[in-house]
Amino acid sequence: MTDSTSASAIRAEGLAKTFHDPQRGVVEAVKGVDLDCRKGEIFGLLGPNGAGKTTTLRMLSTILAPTSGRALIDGIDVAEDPLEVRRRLGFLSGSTGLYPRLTGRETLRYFGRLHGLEGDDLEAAIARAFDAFDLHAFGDGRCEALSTGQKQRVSIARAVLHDPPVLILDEPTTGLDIMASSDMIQFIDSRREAGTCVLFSTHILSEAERLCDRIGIVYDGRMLAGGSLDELRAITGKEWLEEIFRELVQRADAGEGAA
Amino acid sequence: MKTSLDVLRVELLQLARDRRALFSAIVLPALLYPLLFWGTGALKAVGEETMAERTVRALVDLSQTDAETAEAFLAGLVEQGPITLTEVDASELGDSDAGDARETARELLRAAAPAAAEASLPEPSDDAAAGSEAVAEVGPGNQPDQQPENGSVGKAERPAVEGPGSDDGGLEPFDVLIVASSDGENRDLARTTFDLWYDVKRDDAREAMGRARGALRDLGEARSAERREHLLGGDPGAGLAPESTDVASEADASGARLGMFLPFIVLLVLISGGAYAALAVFAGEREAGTLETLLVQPVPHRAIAMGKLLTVFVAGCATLAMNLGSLVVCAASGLMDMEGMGDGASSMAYGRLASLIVELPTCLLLCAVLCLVCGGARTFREGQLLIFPVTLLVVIPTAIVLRPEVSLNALWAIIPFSGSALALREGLEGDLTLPLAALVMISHLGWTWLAVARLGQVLDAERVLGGGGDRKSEAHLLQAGGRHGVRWGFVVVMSVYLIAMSVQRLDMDAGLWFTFWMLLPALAITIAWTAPRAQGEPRRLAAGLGLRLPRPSHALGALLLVPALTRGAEHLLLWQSKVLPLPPGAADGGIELESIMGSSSPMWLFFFFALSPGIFEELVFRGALLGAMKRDFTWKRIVFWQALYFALVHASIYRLLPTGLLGALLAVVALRSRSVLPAMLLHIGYNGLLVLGAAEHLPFTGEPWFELAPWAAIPGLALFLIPPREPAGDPPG
Repeated sequence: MTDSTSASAIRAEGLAKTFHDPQRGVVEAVKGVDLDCRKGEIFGLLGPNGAGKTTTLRMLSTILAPTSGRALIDGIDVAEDPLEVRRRLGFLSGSTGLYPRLTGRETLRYFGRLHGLEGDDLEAAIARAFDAFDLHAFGDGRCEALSTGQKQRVSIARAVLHDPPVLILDEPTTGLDIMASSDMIQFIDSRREAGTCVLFSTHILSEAERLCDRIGIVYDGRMLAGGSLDELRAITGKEWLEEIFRELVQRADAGEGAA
Repeated sequence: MKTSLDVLRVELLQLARDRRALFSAIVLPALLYPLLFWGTGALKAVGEETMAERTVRALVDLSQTDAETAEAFLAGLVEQGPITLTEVDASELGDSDAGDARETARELLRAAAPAAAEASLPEPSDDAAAGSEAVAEVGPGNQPDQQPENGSVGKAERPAVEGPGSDDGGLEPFDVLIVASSDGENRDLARTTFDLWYDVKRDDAREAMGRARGALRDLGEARSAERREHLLGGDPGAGLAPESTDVASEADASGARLGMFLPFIVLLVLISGGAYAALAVFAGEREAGTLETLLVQPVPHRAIAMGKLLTVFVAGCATLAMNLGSLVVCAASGLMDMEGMGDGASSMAYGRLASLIVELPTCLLLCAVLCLVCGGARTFREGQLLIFPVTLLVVIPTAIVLRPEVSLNALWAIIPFSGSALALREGLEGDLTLPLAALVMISHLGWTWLAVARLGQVLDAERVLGGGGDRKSEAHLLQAGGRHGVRWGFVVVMSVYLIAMSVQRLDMDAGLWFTFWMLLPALAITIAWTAPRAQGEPRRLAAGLGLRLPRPSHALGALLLVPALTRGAEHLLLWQSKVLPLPPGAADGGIELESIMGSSSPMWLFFFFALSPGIFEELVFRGALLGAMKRDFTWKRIVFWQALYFALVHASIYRLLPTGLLGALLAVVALRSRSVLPAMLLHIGYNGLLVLGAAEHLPFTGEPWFELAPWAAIPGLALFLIPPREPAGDPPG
């Protein structure tokens, strides 16, 4: 179902996810997240390990079904029409997620076919991706032989091969060296001009400060605050993102303790 | 379908570029049979050749038998192969009791040369005196009378025998001690006994033993013929000599032979070929992160799962084809030297191999099962653990139904795997009818359809991705405790098979002591001591063994379950004897058990068959193994593993069902009571009632109240509704 009244590329309302773990019993990984991310905007989810960032991104990308709440991608409900959502989505998981014994070109061809690209259209899209991400030097070698940065470039090329309007990236710079990390940041920045909505998770404060139009602070499964850096400064009265983050976490812990 | 084919193409490309997959699916199956047949043939030939050329060393004391018998025996012994003969006085053997005689013989074999040198041996006969100082070695090419041909020592001649004073060095132990004794003077009436003492651990000793047996067999046959001729003027049984003619064609014979093992081979090869592919395309991809990427592509998950199933099917069939091709090549080239297989290419039942077509739906079903299992695994290693029980669950029922007395009927035809194995066997034998073949294929296609219908759920992301990505969750995914339990369960089963049963075969009493009071406690303590713990968690051995005080109500409840459980087991065994009758060969074992039951005291029976297993089997299974498993596994998985291992450790397909059910029940009791003690009580009571009842040591079995005793299970079960005692140290709640 398309929600044509919304201009949001990504919209979540009260998104929650509960797991049933045999050892820990019921685990509330996400406890009601609201977010709104517009076209051409870069939105960063900032939070420590285990805060619920990955689970939120997985719900938005239709991998996991929300326990409650609602999420729309490009106006389409993720629960009602997941296949249509996936067509409009480029997703990069925490790992590069490449088949080690396929070449970069074979990888792009495989995922392009899964997105319905065929024949000349497919080859043209692959050629564009080779140019855009400069894959010519290593794109015909097996992925297992590539460096981490080269793998990441193939992964991004795979994620945007079908030119999606929404891009979801789960900790895209984790494990990358300085050059690869810089390339990734430049790539994310470049998507703003292309009108793509980019939602990415990170726990690197400087990255979020530099790139994001708006930032959401996620802690213990909740969105503590969301907005531009200036808006977050106004909420907390702190200057730097690190201080803002600490202030919000302390407030959340104190609130829980009082309860 | 297009998506499934895209997935198939890529997955096959991945596998084809994987050296491990290529080796295990293509190279190994192709080389397996040639290497196996060539290797065993070559080893056998080399072994036989080498052993036949060896000079063995025998100690002989033939003083108690007549000279003619002694000479004929020694001549026959020489004909068997090169041998060194040394005389010895072994009269003290006859004076010893059984235990001492063994030790005396061992001493003689170990140091007989010096002992022989000191002994003053009586000469067995005057004729033998010539050999008493002769040179040691006799045999082919080195006969005492210098005749060059093997077997040239005539019956009237006595080969050279070392006598007292010979210097043999005495460093190497002798291989066999041969002591003859006779119970009379009259050669026709007296019975001559040859006692052969040897050490089975030594190759030369076994070879020497074989030669002595061969010489005695030849001598016995010659003597029998001679006496028949002397007394009756011929062999009165000659007219009854059977002459059999096999009317089966060569194809029938080779088909029957193939039918004995090919149904197993098909299943095992499919599992080995398909399992790696299934692990790689499901669990392996989950670990590599490619599965998560695949799940966000705009294609139905069912189509992806179907593509992966096709990959596993192609890989399994390729492995099977390579394996069968290799088998055919071995048969055609004559490398497969098996009894009943004829002389190679001309006699192989090639046409009968067409019956393999009935296995096609089975192949698809097995691959679907492998996909379901590996799709549920969160890691490659967890998948490997799950393949093991699948193999057992497929192969053990097949082993049961492939007994000669079972034939394919409509009921067997619809049983997964077992039905198709029977169909393949009958097809190879040329007895498979078209309706039954069709029923097997249709029913297996039906099972496959059910399995494929579940495949779409295999890629349920919540299970595949295992929830959150935090460290606690990852630690849980590793399932160290569960893996510890499963791994050690296998070790326990193999230890009982290889160690405990060997010791019990040598000496029943000592074996039972060793098994229950040494091996099982040692295993239990080792498992509990080495169980994984969280960082900073203290090692608690007693808790690891399940030694906690239970609620008295749970202990009482366990005891109240005993009569019903015993009665249930009796009914189950009675029903099983109709469905799965004991084979004729098992009757001997039954007689042996009956004789133990009849000849042993009630105390002995209770101690070894109820108390000891009740304590120590529980300590291992419901104590240490269950304690490790319950850190990670759900109760259903624990009960499954407990039932499987407890059934396997009893090493009998006829006790598989009752022991499996007992293992499951005891696991439930231990889990509910959070203690191993109620399970111990139940196990002791159950075994005690069964064993003492079977040995007719229970005076009250005919009493009316005993008939009503099984009803005590109702209050017994009700007592388990009371919540268990909270373990000490754990927070309440």
